[in-house]
Amino acid sequence: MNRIGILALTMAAAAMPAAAQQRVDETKPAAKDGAVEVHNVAGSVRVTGWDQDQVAVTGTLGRGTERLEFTAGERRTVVRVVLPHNAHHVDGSDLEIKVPRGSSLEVNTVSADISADKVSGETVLESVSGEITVGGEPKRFTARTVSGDVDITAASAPGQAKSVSGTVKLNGVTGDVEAGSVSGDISVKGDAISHVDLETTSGDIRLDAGLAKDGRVTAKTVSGTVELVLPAATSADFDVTTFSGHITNAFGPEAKRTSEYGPGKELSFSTGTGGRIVARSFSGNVHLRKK
Amino acid sequence: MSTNRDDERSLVRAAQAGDLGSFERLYRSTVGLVHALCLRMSGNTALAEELTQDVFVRAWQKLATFRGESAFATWLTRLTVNVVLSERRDRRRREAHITLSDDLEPFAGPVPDARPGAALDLERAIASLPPQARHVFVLHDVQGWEHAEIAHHTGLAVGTCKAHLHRARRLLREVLSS
Amino acid sequence: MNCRNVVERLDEFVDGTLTAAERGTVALHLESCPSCREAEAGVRALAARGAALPQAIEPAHDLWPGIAARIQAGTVTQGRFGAARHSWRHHLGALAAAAAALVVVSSVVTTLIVARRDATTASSRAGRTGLAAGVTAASLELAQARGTYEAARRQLLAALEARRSSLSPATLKVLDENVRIIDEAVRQMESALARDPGNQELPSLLVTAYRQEIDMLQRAAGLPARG
Repeated sequence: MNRIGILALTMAAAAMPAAAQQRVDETKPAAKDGAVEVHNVAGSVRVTGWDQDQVAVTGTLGRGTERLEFTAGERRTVVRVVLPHNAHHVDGSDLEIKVPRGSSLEVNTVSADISADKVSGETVLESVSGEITVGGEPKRFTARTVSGDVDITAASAPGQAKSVSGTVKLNGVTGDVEAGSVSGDISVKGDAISHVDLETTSGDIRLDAGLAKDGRVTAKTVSGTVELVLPAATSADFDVTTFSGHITNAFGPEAKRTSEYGPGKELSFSTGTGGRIVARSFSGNVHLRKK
Repeated sequence: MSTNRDDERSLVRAAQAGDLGSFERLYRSTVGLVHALCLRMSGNTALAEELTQDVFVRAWQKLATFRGESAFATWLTRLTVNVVLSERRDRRRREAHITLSDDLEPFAGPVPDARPGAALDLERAIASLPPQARHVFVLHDVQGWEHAEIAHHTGLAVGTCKAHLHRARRLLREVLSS
Repeated sequence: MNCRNVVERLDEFVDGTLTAAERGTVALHLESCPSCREAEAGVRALAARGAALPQAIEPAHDLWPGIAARIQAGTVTQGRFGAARHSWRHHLGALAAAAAALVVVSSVVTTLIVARRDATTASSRAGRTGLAAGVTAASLELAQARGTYEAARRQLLAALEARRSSLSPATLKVLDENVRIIDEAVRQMESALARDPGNQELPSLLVTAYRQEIDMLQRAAGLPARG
């Protein structure tokens, strides 16, 4: 009757805490489109998609690490660097992980940097102070840090990138993307932006990009500077307001006062149909520049 | 409040077409079922109310997929089980690497009350079960599901479900006889 | 078959899922063993009690206003932020959902539950009567958003306080500094709004700032230990 464990979990464990750095090199079978979950506190995690139905983990476990947990279920593979309880000082572990290209991926770290590339499933990466880099074409990405920087080069994926004090960079993004930081800066580059929402409290927002047909850009900040650098031929409706900041505009009209009582300014004009550019600030300046 | 099958069909059709008023009537006639299941499966009053809300928001979003092969309540029950279990899976995944301090322990909420005597004892005892044992007991013994169906929804093997039911019943009998 | 084997099979015996052969063996044992018979009766009684529990239990509160608000907000799912696509009024839904998610983390938040319920009830009511009332409706909604935000903020700051020892000094410093940045931004915008109550854009920016702070504090509450 006790037939528990039909999932046939296998576990590979080095039982003793590593006194010194320890090499890891293990491979397990995995589904083409299964889930891969990685946990590593410190060090680095580099995940790359490949064309094999296997998950391969190589790298080094830092001094003081208890073991590497590497379990492969039918649909879910877990890679976890296990630290001893009450560990005071444990060196970082550096993991290189190859996963089937179609995997969905979830990585959690504290200070370890994370990079993911060539993974086409949904990709969720979270770190406290580590840097996050996402490339390739995930179905959708989520990248969140507290103080780490986020760098997205995922060409066509929709997704969300958020930090508290870190910088968020979006490069070559064409998907529907949301980016936010409280005090970190946001920078966006791309030739054909389709839909980005950018939001900071005190961080600056800089966008240097062309719009796709019907592209939309929304930038909101309280006190950061918003700088939008666009091709001279951009065809869009512009809608800019600020409460106490200044607005400069290389595309034409000057901003008007909106309120008899407050210092509010508003700038709204059109260079053609299709695109839409919205910028809102409280005290930050807004600059519209031509490339 | 009860609705007969024809009423129900026309309410579902109207709601599918976007009529929130009809959906509210469906909500009124089924919220007790959904809430009871959320309450028993989560073992937590506050969480059960949040889950109940999640279920109806999800139901609204997924209403187009309801084709009327089963009663609306049956469809909604399955949806409820999925919402409760996936909420728990999400949470477990988040918590797998997190040591929450005790004051943030989400399952420390009060157990269901407002039911008299023996039923209340049983409800309390159910709430005190370990999560998976609780889920299987509620689905099998209270909802009357087969192990195969429970296995399908929970992702557990049938043998594992049976083991959880065995454990749940043993623990419940211990708690109730003490 | 000994007593232990029988007790292990009692559930399946009672549920009728044993094979005929096993069923016969268990039945035979039960005939001759009073203690296993008692256990069997116990399992049957428990299963019957489970089946006899009421199928429906009405919630203690009317949950519909909260549901309607989330449905009307349209894009809010599962208590997560990220629906920043629409007018700021939709952020009310997101804020309510954030508060909902918060309840999931902390079970001692009666004040918040009350505050949130009031906010969602009122906001859905405002939604039904239409927003044509202009400034009045907007300021009403802003007041509700503020109430929700303040309650959620209080709870989350308390949660952060409670787990300071499990977070690294560097992370705490970043969090404290950014709480201060947002609080200062909120304070400035509140006082600007007091001077210019008819401003159409300030409520939107204000709600964005509320949402950023709650989002950040929620993340802080869920950060891994040593983070």
